[in-house]
Amino acid sequence: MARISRFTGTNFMNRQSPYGFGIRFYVDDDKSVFADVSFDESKEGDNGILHGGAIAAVLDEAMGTAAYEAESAGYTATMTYNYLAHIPLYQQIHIRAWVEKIDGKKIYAACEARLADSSIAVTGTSLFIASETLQKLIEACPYIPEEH
Amino acid sequence: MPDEIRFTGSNFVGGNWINGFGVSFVQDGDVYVADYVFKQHQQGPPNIAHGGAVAALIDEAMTASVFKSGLGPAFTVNLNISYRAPIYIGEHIHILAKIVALEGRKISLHSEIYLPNNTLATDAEGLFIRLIEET
Repeated sequence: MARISRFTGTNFMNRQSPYGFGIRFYVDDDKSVFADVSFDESKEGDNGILHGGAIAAVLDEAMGTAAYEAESAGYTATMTYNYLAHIPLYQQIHIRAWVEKIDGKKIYAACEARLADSSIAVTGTSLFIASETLQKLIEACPYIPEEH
Repeated sequence: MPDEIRFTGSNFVGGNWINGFGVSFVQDGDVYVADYVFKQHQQGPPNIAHGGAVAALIDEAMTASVFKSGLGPAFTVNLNISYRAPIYIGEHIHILAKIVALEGRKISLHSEIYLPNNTLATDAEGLFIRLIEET
């Protein structure tokens, strides 16, 4: 049974648009995390197409949440994205992220964003450095999503 | 004046939305630069800019370089970022981007972000594809 992630997300993700993205992630039995999201003009790059940086931000958060669920909160050290197709605004996009490997403090995560027809629009990988301090900070003062 | 010269930025990063980054890039020799301060709503870890917000700014810097160089329209196909130091909310940072190679429809770019004490915070490589190849 999927459940909502214990990590309530960063300000940048959990605040409603246009301040943020209004996203909360769910966790599957295999510890991968997912969310179905759509985007409005505040995240536009050009011509009704989502900004490449906006999807990068969402996928960064998705992989960070997957790292948190599988192991620990961490700081992004590197991340790489491959853009295979444009993401139109107002289309429901399926985001999924998972941890591929853990090596000491290094958490390797991967992710994908799929269009409504299930074709892959963006894939990505990242390396997080687990941080006990960050983990404690998150647990001590969880981000409270705004009421709407 | 061709459209690409008038590139004023995307809605997401260039726009002065209530959430907007409100950034525009200017040419400085062969690089395009901007100064920026990340705000509270772009927070990732406590008091630190979200890695994704930083990625968005880098993507925009590269896009501005492409369009302002008259190579647009073009789209990001690959973005690879290394985060070397945290960028704190409220800190004045300096971002630059430049085109390092042009081959057919492929444009390779490099971007760096510096902290106020000139520490390198991020460096990034990007690959853009032009819609049209000049003949």
